[in-house]
Amino acid sequence: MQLEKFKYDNTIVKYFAFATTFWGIVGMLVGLIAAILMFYPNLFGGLHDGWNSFGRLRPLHTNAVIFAFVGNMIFAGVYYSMPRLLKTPMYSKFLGYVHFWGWQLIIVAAAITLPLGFTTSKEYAELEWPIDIMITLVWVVFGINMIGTVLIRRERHMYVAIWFYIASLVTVAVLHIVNSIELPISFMKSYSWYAGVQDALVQWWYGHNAVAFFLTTPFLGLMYYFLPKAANRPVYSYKLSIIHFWSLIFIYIWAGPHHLLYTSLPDWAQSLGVVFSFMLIAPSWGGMLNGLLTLRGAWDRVREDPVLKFMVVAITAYGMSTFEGPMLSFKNFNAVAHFTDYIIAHVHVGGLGWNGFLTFGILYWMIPKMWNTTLHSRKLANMHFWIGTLGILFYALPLYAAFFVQSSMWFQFNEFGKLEYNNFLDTVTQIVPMYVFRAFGGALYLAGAIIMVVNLWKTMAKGSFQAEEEAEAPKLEKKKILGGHWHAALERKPVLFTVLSLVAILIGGIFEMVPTFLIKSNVPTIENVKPYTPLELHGRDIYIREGCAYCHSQMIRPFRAEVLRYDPNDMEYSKAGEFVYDHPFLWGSKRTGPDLHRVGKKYGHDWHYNHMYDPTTTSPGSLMPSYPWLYENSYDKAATEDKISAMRTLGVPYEEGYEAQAVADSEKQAQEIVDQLAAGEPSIQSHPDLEIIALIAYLQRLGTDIKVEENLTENK
Amino acid sequence: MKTINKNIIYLLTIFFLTFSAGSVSAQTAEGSGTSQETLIMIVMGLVLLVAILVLVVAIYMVMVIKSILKREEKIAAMEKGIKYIEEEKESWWTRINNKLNRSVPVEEESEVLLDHDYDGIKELDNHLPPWWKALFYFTVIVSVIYLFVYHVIPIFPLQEEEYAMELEKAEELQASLAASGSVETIDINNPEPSDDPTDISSGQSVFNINCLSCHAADGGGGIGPNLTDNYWLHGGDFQSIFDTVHEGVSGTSMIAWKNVLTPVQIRDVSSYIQTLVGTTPANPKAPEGELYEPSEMSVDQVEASADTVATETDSLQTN
Repeated sequence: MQLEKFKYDNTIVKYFAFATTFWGIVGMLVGLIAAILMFYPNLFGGLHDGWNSFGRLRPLHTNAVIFAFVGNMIFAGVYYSMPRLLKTPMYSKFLGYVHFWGWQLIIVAAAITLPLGFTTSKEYAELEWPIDIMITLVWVVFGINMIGTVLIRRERHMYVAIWFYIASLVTVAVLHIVNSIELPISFMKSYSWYAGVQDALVQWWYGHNAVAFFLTTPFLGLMYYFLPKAANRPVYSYKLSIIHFWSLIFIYIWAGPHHLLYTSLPDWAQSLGVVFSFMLIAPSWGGMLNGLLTLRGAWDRVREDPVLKFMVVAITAYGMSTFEGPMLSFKNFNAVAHFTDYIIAHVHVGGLGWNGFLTFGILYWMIPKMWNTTLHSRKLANMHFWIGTLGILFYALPLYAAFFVQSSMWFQFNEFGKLEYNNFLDTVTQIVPMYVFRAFGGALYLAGAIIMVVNLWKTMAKGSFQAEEEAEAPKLEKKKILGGHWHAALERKPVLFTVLSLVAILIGGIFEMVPTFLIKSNVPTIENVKPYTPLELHGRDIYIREGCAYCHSQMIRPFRAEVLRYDPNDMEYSKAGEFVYDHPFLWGSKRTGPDLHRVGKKYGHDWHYNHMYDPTTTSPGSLMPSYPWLYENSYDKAATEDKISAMRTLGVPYEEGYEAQAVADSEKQAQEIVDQLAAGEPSIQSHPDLEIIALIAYLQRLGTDIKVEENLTENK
Repeated sequence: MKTINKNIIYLLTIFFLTFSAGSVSAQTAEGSGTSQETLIMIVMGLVLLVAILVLVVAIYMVMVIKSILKREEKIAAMEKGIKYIEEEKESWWTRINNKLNRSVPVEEESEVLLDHDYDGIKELDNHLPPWWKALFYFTVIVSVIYLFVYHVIPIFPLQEEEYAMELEKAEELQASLAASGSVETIDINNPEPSDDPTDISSGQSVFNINCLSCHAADGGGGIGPNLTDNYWLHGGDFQSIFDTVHEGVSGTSMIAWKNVLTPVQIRDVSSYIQTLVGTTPANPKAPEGELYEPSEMSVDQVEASADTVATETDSLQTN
């Protein structure tokens, strides 16, 4: 049989590896700043401005670490391992570079637009529509390059790493497209196609599976390549690979609703989220087992080799967070843990432990290989390992403690059946020390990453970069193969394999979304709920822009403790029908501050006016940043008509031709608020065009519609 | 070995530090409260921690004893002039592991080595670990049962039903509190001010938690009106103050506190507010509302004299 000669291209891998280190440091630094802002909101002092406030930096941090740090690592690993596993160069060098520069362009666009306040507010999908389109295009380029490579392979069967790459490719495409369906109203502003409960379901189907198919499955693929290579041991069980791969991708997609337990999502959808999360333990642990058991007979080296050390902790962290996940999905536990800092600890065990440590392990292995040398300093790498591990502990443990304090204080009743801590602020000031510890943990972790950069830099200086590696393999002959393992047949048919994995991941989403969209009883309508006024719509967009939803939920769950706390006047929890005009939904996922769904009319305009200017005047000890720029800038009155007509297109029942009247209505409502502020004691002089007025209008509307009838009767 | 020990100590210190920080601050916040449950949780957590600590120490002791014994045997062997041969035995951990996972031992793995070779990566064909399979089956069975008991034959309550039950329980508690007479009850339609110093100080702590953000710590007012002067927007007699707190003022920042505070707490804070009248706050807000003179004047008389806002009366204490 004739051997064909070909070359593996290392240059593109180098590019992606540099990008992952660079963006990793940037993303972690932004995270550290955000962590400090949480206990020291005055960090920037006189430089405090819109772009560097917590609500804008938070999405920058999450997007940077997920899509830039982890994303570039995925690509580096794929471009390194795929050619070697399939015995062929990548399908197209050119597409590789389009992919690389396209992806970096997206990241830069994100790094500029997010601090400027361009956001859809949907977590991990904050980027606005032009960037969404760019992501789609670059992903298609990546897909063509990947599938192309599979098709020109010289290896008959696809190795398990490739299965995971393929499943990730198709699922991320589906998730991104479905969740990003939005109606642009201008350059960099759009409204989600879905509303309220439906938007929440789509978003958390996306959010949960972004974790699954961006942070988990591609990294499992990387693990399956780099771990056996680094340990020089055979993979433990081929059977386990097959079973855990298919069960993982099939079950994962159903679990999204566990982010919405006890909300207005229909009960049946919540229950599906619960049970599929529970069934996810074994498939997830299958990956962990196959990783750890592959190290049988190599544990003596784990003690010495920093690469293996990083990988072992990564896999253990993966096992831990995939155990926490299902536990958090149980209704009773979720009831106390949701909205607390537990969730933040949980995702960081996964993020810092699994993604971070696996990335470090791979880089420590791959860089010396590509530079044809050995690692500059094992000692430094070991130091990085211990500092990083300490960093994770210092990060996670204080937040577990914070969860403990939050959940016990939020739900504590006194002997009279009233809330023991009815002032939410008391529960915030208690956890400040934990936030300090957490930031310290983050700083340690970042310091470790910087040590790595130095170490890798010296390694590269020592070696010489090998741009191409020669290899040879026989051409893959066309022939019919009969018999053998049933799955082996599938591994020979990449197209069929891709289609089957697509089917596997579509089932869960379809089962949950279609009924929620089509069956009316899932979202019972409430007659009193009316569309927002134009001014409130403007205010809502300011709320979105400032990232208020990152710290304030708008979802009062049906617990006496929550209803008493957030709606002491009328005792109403949040109902599905109240959100039907919310494009996008703003339920939030974390309560650093109190829930706002029933804040409408709870306080006077003056309270909000003072609060947003300096939160400590109304809430001493508050950790909320101030928003002075809302008192200088005017809301975008010119966009009023576009907003109204876009909302009508999305199904919000504004009367035909209401656009003509919208600006006047907006001005009238603003004037009323300004007049009331002026009439107060002390009188507040303001201007009706200011953003703060629009924001107050929105806040005063929140959750009040279902009380309209009562108010009418009261006024009589 | 040394690094591992060091790290265990690190870990435990960190855990203790953060944990104790959390529990201490939670306790201080409770004040004289009765959060028995929190306390029990904290104690249980500490007990668990101690247990883990004991376990770690025990394991460490066993390891130390083992290595000392080995050393002694080595010395003994040397003295006798024979070579010390270490017992070749799989550790219990490896044995348990292999049994649980039904793994083919490392030495025999060539028997299950598949003929794949992907860039040097080979695959074994080990069995699915039995405990893992059992776990998977277990989760599937539990899930089916879960859906069945919540949705097919609804034995367990879904969230709205749960909420209704919770409300019912709270009402029962109220009823039993009232019936038992163990707690002080007051007639909200005819509350009497209290001059008991304990009540006043309880009122003060209620005020400091809930009221100062709008009325200032010294009652001088801010978003809410000044509580130290004799002008009242909603009436200055005790019943009016009590009602204002109890029912709130619609359309203002003053919420109805009846769901947040108990009647006794509202009585206490209202009594405390009355003690503020006549004091001199740091930044007094200008008077708002109508003059109320707590003498023998009836409510009608107060309303009649509503226009005479100009007169500033001196300190008038109710008691």
